[in-house]
Amino acid sequence: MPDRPISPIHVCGTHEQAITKHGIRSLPPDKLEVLSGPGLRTPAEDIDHVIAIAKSGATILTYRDILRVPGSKMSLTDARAEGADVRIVCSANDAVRRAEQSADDIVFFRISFETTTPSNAAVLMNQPPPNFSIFASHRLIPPAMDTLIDDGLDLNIDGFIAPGHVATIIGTHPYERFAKMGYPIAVAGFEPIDILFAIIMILRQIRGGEAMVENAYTRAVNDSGNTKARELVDQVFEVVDAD
Amino acid sequence: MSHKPKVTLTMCLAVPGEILSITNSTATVDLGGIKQDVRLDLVEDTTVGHYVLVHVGYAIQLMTPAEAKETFALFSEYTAALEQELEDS
Repeated sequence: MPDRPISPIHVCGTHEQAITKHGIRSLPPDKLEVLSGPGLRTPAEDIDHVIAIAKSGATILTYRDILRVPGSKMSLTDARAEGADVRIVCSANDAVRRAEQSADDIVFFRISFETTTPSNAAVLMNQPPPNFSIFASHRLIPPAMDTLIDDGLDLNIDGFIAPGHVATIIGTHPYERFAKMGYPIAVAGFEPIDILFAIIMILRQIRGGEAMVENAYTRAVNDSGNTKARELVDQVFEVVDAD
Repeated sequence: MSHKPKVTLTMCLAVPGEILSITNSTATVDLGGIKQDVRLDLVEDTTVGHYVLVHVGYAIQLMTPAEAKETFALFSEYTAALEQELEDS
């Protein structure tokens, strides 16, 4: 064990919310520090583009949590106050239904990791009406972990608490290369006990001098993930650099 | 030192539910007492009585009844603990 706090890192905003809400950082001894990764951040230019689309007359449908994310000048909430038509939906499928009932141009905007991207692929494969489109701002977790490792040299990353619902789709295999790089990995659900279990798995690996992929969320994640969802995504979207 | 993101999106939530009925590719699902219409495009071989993990209106994985019940049990454990805490305070 190193002579500094052991610091596993998570990479998901929902994990950060659970850790904060349940006071998980106050539970373990000082020698353990749970770091918070970048989570899913929307590039300001994506917000700017969507606001420009809204101001051109289209209706924007999105999820509630994105409304306050700042663009370079304003958020979608600010744009709505200035008259842009921005509405909340609970599902990509709801957005399609709104488009079917409307003569307006409907643009569904959602940034997402691997968990949410398949539902966007599904609506596009189901021949939505011509007035429906998606502003896709999807991100992938493994490259985000690469970026953390490459750019986060000031962070002592002792292991990754991997987001469970991403693994529901991609399985556990994509994390194996990080274990080969020496990082213990535990795939975690979003209940406090799931996160604590994942932390214990990582600590056991560190103590044993091991680095492997373990699954602390077997009730929702299997090793191979959801093949059908991944095939749909591959049919509809293409992976490109984010910048 | 923790590195908190400036804006945190928390859409990664998913909850288990039991399929009550299926019409075309849409199922009515019981999410622990709340009924919701859920698309089945992303899962295969589902039928009434199966449990699925639901995320933004889509089933993203099949679950066994035991797995789903484990999750519901965790939810009710936290709810009970929270209520106890509120009573005590």
